[in-house]
Order: sequence, then C-alpha cells, then structure tokens
Amino acid sequence: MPDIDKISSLLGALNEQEVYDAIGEIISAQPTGETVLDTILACQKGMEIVGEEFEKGNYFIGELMYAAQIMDEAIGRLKPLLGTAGEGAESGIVVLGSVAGDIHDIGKSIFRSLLEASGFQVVDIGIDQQPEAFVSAIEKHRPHIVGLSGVLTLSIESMRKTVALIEEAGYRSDLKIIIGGSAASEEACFHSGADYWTKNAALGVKKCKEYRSEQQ
Amino acid sequence: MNSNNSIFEERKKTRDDLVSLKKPKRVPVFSIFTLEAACGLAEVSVMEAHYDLSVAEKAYDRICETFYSDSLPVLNLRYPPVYDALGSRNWVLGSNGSMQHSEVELMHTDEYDEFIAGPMKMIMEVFLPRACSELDKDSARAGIALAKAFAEYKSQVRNHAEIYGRLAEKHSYADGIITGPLTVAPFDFIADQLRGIKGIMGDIYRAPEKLLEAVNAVTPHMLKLAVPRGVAERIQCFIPLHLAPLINPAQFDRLYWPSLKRLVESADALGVGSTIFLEQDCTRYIESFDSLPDSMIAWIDDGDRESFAAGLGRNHVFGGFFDPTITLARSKEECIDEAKRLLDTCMDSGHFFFSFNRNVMDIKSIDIAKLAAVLEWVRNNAYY
Repeated sequence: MPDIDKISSLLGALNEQEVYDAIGEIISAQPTGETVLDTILACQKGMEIVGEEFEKGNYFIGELMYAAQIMDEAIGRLKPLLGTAGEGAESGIVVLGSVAGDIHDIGKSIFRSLLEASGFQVVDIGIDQQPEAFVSAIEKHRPHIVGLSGVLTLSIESMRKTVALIEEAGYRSDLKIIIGGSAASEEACFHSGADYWTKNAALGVKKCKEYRSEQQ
Repeated sequence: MNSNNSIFEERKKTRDDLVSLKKPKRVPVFSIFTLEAACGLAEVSVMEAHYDLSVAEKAYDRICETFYSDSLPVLNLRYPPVYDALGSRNWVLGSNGSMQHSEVELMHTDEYDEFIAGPMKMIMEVFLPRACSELDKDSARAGIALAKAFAEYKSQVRNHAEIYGRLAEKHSYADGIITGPLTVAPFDFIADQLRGIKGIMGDIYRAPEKLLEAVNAVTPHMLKLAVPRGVAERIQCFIPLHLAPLINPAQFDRLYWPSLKRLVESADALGVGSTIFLEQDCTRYIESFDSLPDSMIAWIDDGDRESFAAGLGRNHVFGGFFDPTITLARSKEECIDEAKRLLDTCMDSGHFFFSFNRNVMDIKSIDIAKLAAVLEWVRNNAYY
C-alpha cells in the first residue's frame, strides 16, 4: 500500500501520472471505506497545496485547472469504492451559477472544483441563470453560501437583480453571497449587495470556510 | 472651415500624432461601448437591433450624443444573423441578447497530427461541421448554408460600415485605435476555438510539443485574417488576447509568445499594425510586448500602470486601465480624481490614450452622468 499522504504532495506538484499510479495501487489493494476516504482527503489536501501555490503567485489559473482535472479523475476512480459515504456536505452547501446573460463556465468550474476539494457540497445550477433559478435552488437545497459568477460587465446588473430577488424571497439573512469572475469588483459588490467579491477562486474558498466558521 | 470640420481636423491631428508616436496636444479619448450598452441607453431591444440595423444605428447615435470620444465609440464584432445561418454552437446569444463564446471542444486530443498536416482541411471538413449544425449536412446543403452565411456576413459588414461612416460624419470622429480586421493569437485560436480552455490546460502538460506544432501551423492563417487584400493605407488590426495571463511564464514564453510575435511582426511588414487588447494583468510580460514593432498599440485591462508607462510607454502607444464601473459606487469628483491619477501616471510619454479597461457592455454597469463627466473632464483638461 503506498503512502496515502504522499498523494497530497504528488497532486500539489501536478504529477498527474504518479497520482493515478498511487491511487491505482490503493484500489488494487482492496481498501476499506476508511482508506478510500483518507485517500480522497489526501487529494483534497493536494488541492489545498495547489491553492496555496496559486495564492503565493507560483501557480497560475492554468495550474488550477490542470490540478482540478487530476482531482476530478482521481475522485472518479475512487468514488465507486465509496458508495454514498463521500457525498456529505461536511463543510457546507454552496449554490453556484453564472448569472443571467453570461454563458461563461470556466471560472465557475474552477471555483466548484476547489470548493468540492475542500469538502463543500456544491449545487452548480449552470450558466446564464435567471434570478428565479437561484431562488428555486436555494429553496430546494438550503445552502449556506451562494456564489454568483460573471465575466461580462453586464453581469453586474444580473448579480444585483439576483441578490434583490433572494432578499425579496426572504432568504438573504440566512446565507452569504459571494460574487466572482472578471466582472467582480468592489464597486460591483457594493452595487449588487453581495457580501464578498473576488477574482481569485482560492481566496473565494477561503472566504467560504470563514463564513462557515462564523455560521456554525 | 466650418466648426465640424475643425473639430474633425483637431481630432485627426491628435490621433495621427499619437499613432506616429509624436506627442499630441492633448491625450485622445477613445471610448468604447457595445451594441448591448447602446440599446440599454436608447431603451430598445438588443435582439431587435441585431436583426434591424436601423434600430442599432439609433442606439449607437445615443451613445455618440451622450459620451465624449475622439473616435467612434461603438464596436460590434459579432453578427447573430451570420451565426444563425450557420447553426452555430460555439457562438451563441445569451438570454439578454449578447453574443458570447461557448466552451465547445471541436478538436479531439487524437486529432493534433491531422490538424498539423493540414489545418484548413481539418477546419473546413471536420471542425466547422462540429461547430455548426447547418454545415453538418450533405455537401450540397452545407454548401448552400455556407453561401448564405457568407452573403449575410458581407451584407452585415457593408451595412455596419455605412452606419459607422454616417455616425463618424455626423459627430466628426477621427479614426480610433482599431481600423482593421479582427484576428487572434495563434495559441488562443487553438484554445478558444478548437480545444476549449479545459482541453488546452491539459494539453499544455500532456502534449506540449503537439500543441506548439499546432500553434505554428495555424499562424499563417491568423496572419491572413489580419491583412486584408487591397487596402492601401496603413491600418491597425485588432488582436484581443485571452489566455496569456492564465498560463505560467515558462508556458507563455514557449507556447504563446513566439507565434504571436511572428504574427505581429509579419503583419507590420505587410503594412498592418496591431492593436492588442491585454486582458487581465499582463504586467509580467511588458518586456515582451515592448520588443514588438512600434506600430503595436496596447489597450490594457489591468496591471501596474507605472510599470507599463515606464516599460512600454517609451516606444509604444498604450492606454486603457480606467474601469467605468467605478462610477456606480463613487462620487463624480472621486471618479474624476481616479482619471487624474491615471493620467498623472501614464501621460508623460505622450503616447497615452484615455480609454476604458474593457468596453462597456451594459449601460446599467455604469453611472451615465458620472462617466460622461469623466470623459468631458479628460477631453478638456488632459493637455500637454
């Protein structure tokens, strides 16, 4: 059985094949559910390393996206051994989507991968989503945090409308709202009525963790 | 000389001095709004404007009347009727009527070799049918669809040119920083149009040699887009960069930069300058951009202004940086102060133009009166 903790550093260093080889060895050793969970946690730690390197300026968006691909593949190989035990929302639930008028997906996907790697359950409602779709998802999933993504400047007004409808529906005080993507700025945050803005997915995840500590 | 002529002449001289790297009398103002923003201001449907250009023209005119600019302040690069005729899947209308690029993987990882051997053959015979439902039919029907789309494209270009001409005449606009066709960095073409961003971010690590060969194979075709036939005067093509700030410097140096440099240098040799939009923060690549021919104009989204002024502004025209969305949250005076700070940092070289960090796509993303006041202030005060 390979050293599970080593997977964290392998993923952190973006050694794709070595991550898969290590996971292959674990799988072939017919691991217990606990070992599989530990392996998933090791992958999550690897993603944390990637996020830290990104924050330090050593990694760029490209590295984040590549790491997310490795992570997705690794989790995909481990999940069948886990049943439903790994589906929990131990860190919290986040409803995430690109706002009305914006069909961009990449930034949202990076944020989703990093959130999932940090143990959040993410309900990704997709791109170009009307305010009503966010409210429906909030009603259904009762998230702790809502993430509004947008690349275009025209997203700012959609973000404002979405926050306003969440408020009107009576959910605003129960959750935190983060806006992200190229359209996000201090002014956009102020105008939209969101709680936090960032163009940096890793910082966004950090903020989500802070919010969850405050909420718990 | 009537007053309209004198306004035009003053603007033309200011712009011409700028692009020939002579210090103009004042900092030129090049405002840029999209059709969506124009329709928002004119309170007309953008969907209607896409298909009825008389509606678009009236909306553009409202922008011209409201916001100061030395050049035509409207820009529309994508025409929905053309994409409709093709049944496009990678360029689609958002629910608000704006044309947007959708992440579609048109080239699979195992198709690099075939693409490198014959890029145009693969684009025409394999990728375009994947991108467009109307081209994914038997050759007769696909041929008719392509002919229809091309006729629509020619008609749109001609009609837009007429509209722009009328507006330029009416408002005495000089040329701006984009006077030629759109092309893209070869790496961005492979990434955005063929592999998708997710795909390319894997290829960079898994197949960098193939990727580099593909980038090189497509470079001559990007040059063809930049250099139209039969244009006598010097023009500025437009190259909006996309992935440069997202990849690491070693990848940029190896995979992104050499073909872009070759594209810009080749276009320059053929009489076409390049206006490059540097999306996000490209401060770390100032030295590279400074090595391009002096016909290169940099329109900058974000980054260290002092470094750009010192590193790029000596030998090149540059501008941008001003974020129009600050007008939503700040007072008019604070917005003007921000413009003053920008000018203080950047205008000394005489090569700076005042413009937005990005074109305005939604009129509700700005405060109309405050932004108009900023532009007027720059027009009236940014003198050398």
